Amino acid sequence: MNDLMLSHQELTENPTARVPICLVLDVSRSMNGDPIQELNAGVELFMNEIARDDIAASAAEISIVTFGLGVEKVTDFGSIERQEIPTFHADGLTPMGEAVDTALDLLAQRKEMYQNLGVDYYQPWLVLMTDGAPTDDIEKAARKASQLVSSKKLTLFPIGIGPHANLSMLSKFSPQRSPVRMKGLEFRKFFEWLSSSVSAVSESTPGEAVSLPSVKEYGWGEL
Amino acid sequence: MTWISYRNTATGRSHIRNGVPCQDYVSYHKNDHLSIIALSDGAGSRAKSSEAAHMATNELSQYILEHSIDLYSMEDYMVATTVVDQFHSLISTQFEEQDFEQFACTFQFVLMDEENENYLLGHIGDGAIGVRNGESWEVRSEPENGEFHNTTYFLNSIDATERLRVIHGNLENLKGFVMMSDGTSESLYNRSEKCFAQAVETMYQWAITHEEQKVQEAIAYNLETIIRDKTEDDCSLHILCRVEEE
Repeated sequence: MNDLMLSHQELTENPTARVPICLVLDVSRSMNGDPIQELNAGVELFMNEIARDDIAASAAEISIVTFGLGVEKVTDFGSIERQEIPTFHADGLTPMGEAVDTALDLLAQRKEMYQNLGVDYYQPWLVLMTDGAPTDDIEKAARKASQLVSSKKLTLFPIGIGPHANLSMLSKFSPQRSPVRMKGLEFRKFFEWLSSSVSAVSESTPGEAVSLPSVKEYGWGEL
Repeated sequence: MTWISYRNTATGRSHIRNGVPCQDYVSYHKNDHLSIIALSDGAGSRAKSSEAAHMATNELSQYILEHSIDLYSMEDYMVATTVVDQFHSLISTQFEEQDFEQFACTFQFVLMDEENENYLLGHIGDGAIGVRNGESWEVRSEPENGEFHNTTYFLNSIDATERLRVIHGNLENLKGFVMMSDGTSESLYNRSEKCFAQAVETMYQWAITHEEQKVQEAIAYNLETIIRDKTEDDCSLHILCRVEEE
């Protein structure tokens, strides 16, 4: 065998390219009961699935913003290994506009941090879930989100929960991807699909089209 | 003095899993006192990217070699325009498929004129090119990605002529060149410090102290093991060393 071998010490260590993901979750009073329980279980499953996948665990950075009794940043971006899995309680109204605005600011700040540190990153993701209609003004946030989506600076997944979710309001945030109504309370299937999607993106290379897993196959959405 | 080319490619781990062949290509062409080294990385998702990368490192590189006198005398922008136009022309004449979007590949080349001791470098997309200037390695052309990690620029991009970086340089004091695709640069190019890993110098030292065949095998072996293990992507590497003629 050839004795000319490189050692790991002679190679460079580049930081893993990050996928910043912000979950923007409706925890208003109408989510009380089974919906909030299933949402808690779904988010727990999501974070555990990401942590189990070596590549996704080092690439994905998750932040969670809730809207209900006000808008709250529940989880800040960071390594999944050091994040605590939150438990949500349903209360309050549906200040969706403010929540999306907060999420967009958080994603922008995160991107700026990556740029300052020379860390590569993928297109940020925003997952917006609601079981109702906004109770605040969404125009500014919807315009900002739509512009980012149209200029390919943001991937936004609008998800309606239950029969009362106002999909036409959700679509204002998403000029390209139509909102999907969740089948029943299949939060777990949705978050399984989301973690597989994160894995697919975190393994993609330049010039490669990323195909996300099929919603139909995971069976979480009404198509 | 003469130049020896050490080059190889290794299929990426994701391509091995999916049964896709390597889409990185490297080449070396020589004609009297002129020579060209080239590297191209086909974009994974495009149907004709592998053909495009193969063509860039062969027919396009040979065209650059054959038209070196004209190219050396041109302004940078004209060099870029000529190279990109020729790429389009080759696709038109060689393929029935005329959907240019499918022919996506990055491209790196260094054209050397040993007689006049100068070189002409061209680079579009990710990957990196460096020179051994005196006793140390310097980056001559760094990777150019889009804002996001999985985006870059290709020879068939709409703005390819603006994105194709062209550099004229002098060979005096230069003892070697290195060019690598983005898969290899995960191991050999530090993105935040913008410098090469120690391994580049190690391989250069192998090249000037060991028999050529042994070094070719060593580079192939290290690409297929330690370098490939740090990425999912295809890996390619080209090291050109100036050595005393025997």
